[in-house]
Order: sequence, then structure tokens, then C-alpha cells
Amino acid sequence: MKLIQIAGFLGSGKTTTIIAISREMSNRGKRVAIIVNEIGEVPVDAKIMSDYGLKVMDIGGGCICCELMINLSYTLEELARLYSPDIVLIEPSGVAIPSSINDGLSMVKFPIERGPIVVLFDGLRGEELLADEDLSNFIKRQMINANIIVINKIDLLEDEKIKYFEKLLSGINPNAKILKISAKNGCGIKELIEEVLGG
Amino acid sequence: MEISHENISGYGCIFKLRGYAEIKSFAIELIKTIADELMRRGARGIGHIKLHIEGKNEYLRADTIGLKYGVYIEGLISSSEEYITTINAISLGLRREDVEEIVHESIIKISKKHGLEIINHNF
Repeated sequence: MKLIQIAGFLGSGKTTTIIAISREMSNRGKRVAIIVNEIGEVPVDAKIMSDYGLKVMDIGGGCICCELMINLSYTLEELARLYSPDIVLIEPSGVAIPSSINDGLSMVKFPIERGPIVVLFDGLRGEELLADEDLSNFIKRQMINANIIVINKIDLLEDEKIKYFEKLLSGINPNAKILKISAKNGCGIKELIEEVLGG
Repeated sequence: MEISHENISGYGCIFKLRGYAEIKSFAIELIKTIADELMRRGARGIGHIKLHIEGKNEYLRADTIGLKYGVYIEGLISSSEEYITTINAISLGLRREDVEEIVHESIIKISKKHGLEIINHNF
């Protein structure tokens, strides 16, 4: 069972990206399950994903990077027992710190394969968020431990802006692979899948 | 203001509506009303507002990351009379109680405006 985190700030497109990835992976014969953690008590993202026939388990009422880490561990065990997925995509809340989740996976008591940490960058709202000092610091905290940084919403961006973001994000985390996608229209999704499955 | 779990507040609820209405218009207006009110009451920003409406074998979803970016809509509801509606609103800089109050007030106001009756809810 390979675990892949698809993290990123609020509104960066995690749910849309996970739907796109899951459908493509399923088409390739992979059994895919999704764990969603949302701020707020009701699982809107889980409902959205279920509309696409995807296997989803939600963890609500807090953040899995801290107070709900034990819930993540139990949920993974349940998924392994009931569904035996090849791939588990984890969508943390938009305010989770990806490295904290990754560290917490040491609580899982059965063998898992840790896939890459993927962090989405909101190409549409990115500049606005980075112009705010506090938001900028938070987003950089999310980016700093990513294995793959993905610029999303490229269908709404000019090429020059994409290049600007590639350079900017590379400066924040020089070790991360930078990819670009439009989760909405599917552009770049296959390349992202190749990267996460091969990593 | 350091961004942390403590100053990002989210509130979500589920409610059931009954009536015949242009659901797409209802969804857009509900999201816009919540977003406007969050900012009016001092939110520093919108994290996201997500709405999922389920009719009989049909669904519609809508979301925004801030009204300057518009409201995204997907799906269609055209032949249902009852709708299970799930909403989640996340803001920066407001207390959770304020977000909850704004969401409740907006649901009640906009449902009434569109001739929809709230027949069940978890708030």
C-alpha cells in the first residue's frame, strides 16, 4: 500500500487534483482509496469525490497533522483490512503541515510504502497569498518539505507567470521537482502520476 | 498574525431543503452572501466556501476562494423537489462562532428568498 499526500493551502485544488489522479490511476488498474481531512465538521470534499464513484474515507473535527494523527493511523488500518488498496491518496486540510503528517505515519503498525509528498501551489491566487507576510510564511512552511511542488490552475495563467512561479518555488525548495498542471482540464496529470508512482 | 490552526476557522453543516427553485442561482447567491458577510465582519480572507447539493439522482457543487475569483459551479439539478445540502466555509481571522452565525443567517435568508423551505438541519 503506497501512501501519497496531496497537500496545499486552502483552495489550491487538492480535491480536484485527487479526483483527476484517482480516475486516471483506476483506469490503469490500480485500486485507489482516498482519505480526506477537512476543517469543519461536515465532509463536503468526501461527498464531491463520492459523486465520481471514488472510495473515500473522511476524518473530520480537527487536523490530522496534530490532534487527529491517531485517527489517520486507524483509518489506514481499516482501509488496508477492508479494501486492500494499491494506492492511498491523503488529502490533508489546507492548514496542515505535510512533514508533520509524514512523521506521524510512523504510528502505523503495518508495512506501508511512503510515496512522495506532493504540495500544490495555487497559480491563480498564489501571488496574492505570497504578498501577505503571514500567509507567505505559512505557505513556505508547507512547501519546504515537499518532494514535488505542483503549480495548479495553469489553464488560467500566462506562460511568463508560470515561469516566474517555477523560479520562485524552486528558490523556496531547491530539492523539489516542480510540475505544472490544470487539475480542471487534466493537463499535466499524466506526468504527475508518472512522478508519484515512480518515486 | 501568524497563520496557524488557531486563526483559521471553519464551520460546516448539513441541511435539507424542499421546494422548486433555480438551484444554480440559489447556490451562487448563498456562496456570495456568505463570502460578502465574512469580509464585512472583518475576515482577513476567504479560505474557501464549498457547497454540495444533492437532489434525486442529480447533484450540483459550487465553491469560491474569494469573490474576485468568481464562483465555480459544476453539475445540474433540474428535476428534484428536495435537496440535501452540505456547506463548509473557512475564513482567516474570524472566530468559529462568527463563521457559524454567518453561515446560518445566510442559509435562512437565501433559502427564503428562493422559496425554499428548510425541513431538516443539524444546526
